Amino acid sequence: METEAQTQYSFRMPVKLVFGVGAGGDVSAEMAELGRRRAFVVTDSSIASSGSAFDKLIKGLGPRLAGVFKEVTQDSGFEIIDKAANMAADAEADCVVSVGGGSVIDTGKGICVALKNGGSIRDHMGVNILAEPQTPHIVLPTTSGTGSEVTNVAVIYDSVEKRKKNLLDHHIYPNTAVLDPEFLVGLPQAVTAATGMDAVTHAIEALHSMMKNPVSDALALQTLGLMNQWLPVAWAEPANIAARGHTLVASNLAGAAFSNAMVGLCHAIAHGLGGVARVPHGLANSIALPHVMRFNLEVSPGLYDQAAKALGLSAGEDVAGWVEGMARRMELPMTLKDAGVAEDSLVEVAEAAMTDGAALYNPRPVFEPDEIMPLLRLIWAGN
Amino acid sequence: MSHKFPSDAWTQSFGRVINASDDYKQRGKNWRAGAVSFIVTAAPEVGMTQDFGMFLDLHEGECRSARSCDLTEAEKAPFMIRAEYGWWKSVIRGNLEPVRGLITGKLKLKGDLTVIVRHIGAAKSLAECASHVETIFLDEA
Repeated sequence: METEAQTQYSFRMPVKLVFGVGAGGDVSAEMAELGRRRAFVVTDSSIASSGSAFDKLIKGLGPRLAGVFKEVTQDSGFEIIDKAANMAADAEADCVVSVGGGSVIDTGKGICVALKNGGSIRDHMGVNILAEPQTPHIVLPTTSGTGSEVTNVAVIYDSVEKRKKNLLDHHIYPNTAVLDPEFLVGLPQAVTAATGMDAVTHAIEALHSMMKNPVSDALALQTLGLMNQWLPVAWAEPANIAARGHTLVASNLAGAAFSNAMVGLCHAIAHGLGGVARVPHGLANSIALPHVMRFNLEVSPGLYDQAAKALGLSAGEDVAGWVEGMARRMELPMTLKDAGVAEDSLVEVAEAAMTDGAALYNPRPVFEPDEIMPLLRLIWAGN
Repeated sequence: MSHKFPSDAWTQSFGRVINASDDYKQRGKNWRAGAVSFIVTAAPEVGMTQDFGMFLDLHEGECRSARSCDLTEAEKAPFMIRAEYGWWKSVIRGNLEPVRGLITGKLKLKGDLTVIVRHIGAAKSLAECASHVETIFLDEA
């Protein structure tokens, strides 16, 4: 399939990557390169108390540490960002160091914007409206899932509207991503599985997006190969540093892929599920992805042939089954019902999904909530 | 009658085309999110020395008002889209799909993207209407 985007495209990846076991202990060097002196560290309480890798980071920052904010929650929202930005301003921070998964990193992006421009992050929501580079941002991902360390989007929860909103801007790409596998050692199996499936979803959706291009394809296919080989190992052996490193790189590649190619209907549904039913993002993607793939295959039969080849499968139709096999092998819930989602929330999920920009790039166009209700019921029940 | 783009006359003509469009009446019938402003950033190379603002008061499939405006007023609209002259020309010519323009940074949106996405049909219909305005582009005048 050749889309308009494949014949005319651009590809951005302005983030410096630093990979290495123990690299998190040397963030000061990255700050110095950016000309920064005072780091405001953003994380969650669990990471802050997780021990060696985080402690090494804090110790390495030494006098450059301006403060630590550890109140980020799953899918954190406007209020948390505003609170943290005020604290960062009071601490006279001149850069933000985010240590965590997608929620932490996206919170960090929001803080960088609010810190630079003042006011509430609500005042700065939009698409590419920022006129200049924002507060410098160094990111240390602690899951191999989000890829947010190399993306230009922050997903922010609006507790008033019970909906996830996107801040999309080329000026919110982090400056530096420090990929240190030590931060992933000991990650619980369920989190490893769900976040890993999030990265798999990024790769698959980058491959089927209407904005796909040869560069994003290459990154996405490499992601699938790495995840196929190493995600089950990382899940089974949480302390396997090689597996953690490979999956961390895989999620990073997928992030770069989807940041340019965009995602699709699966993410729109996952965002809806996150906002309405508070289903963790990776888990929502994992459950929805095979069903969305089959939904897309109905109108575009060759859609997953590239992915099948990368995975050593004989046909594109087998890739959805491969996704289910990975999820099952890692003991993830296979249906929304099993994940505890109430069936009567599906209408609201459909409404929310149809406000999500991700849906615009799905290869099978959908515009109205009614169009995806049968699909959502299938995702809920699993058959 | 043709009008120079951008100009107050072009904006008013745009409003008339919108109100003559059955497609927009249908696809925009649920739009209750308020006014939309457009800013064409200054382009001295085509004789535009200052940014130019346009203000559309859209409601339930109707354009209640269409006129040029100053930048302060444009900033107050719930949705403001800003772009360089050349990208607006591409949109009007039908060569740049508006959402793709947003995502790729050619068009810049201040406001809630989710609302635009929910009314994507209306947004596309507006772009279609723009392409039907008889336009004289400054660089072709």
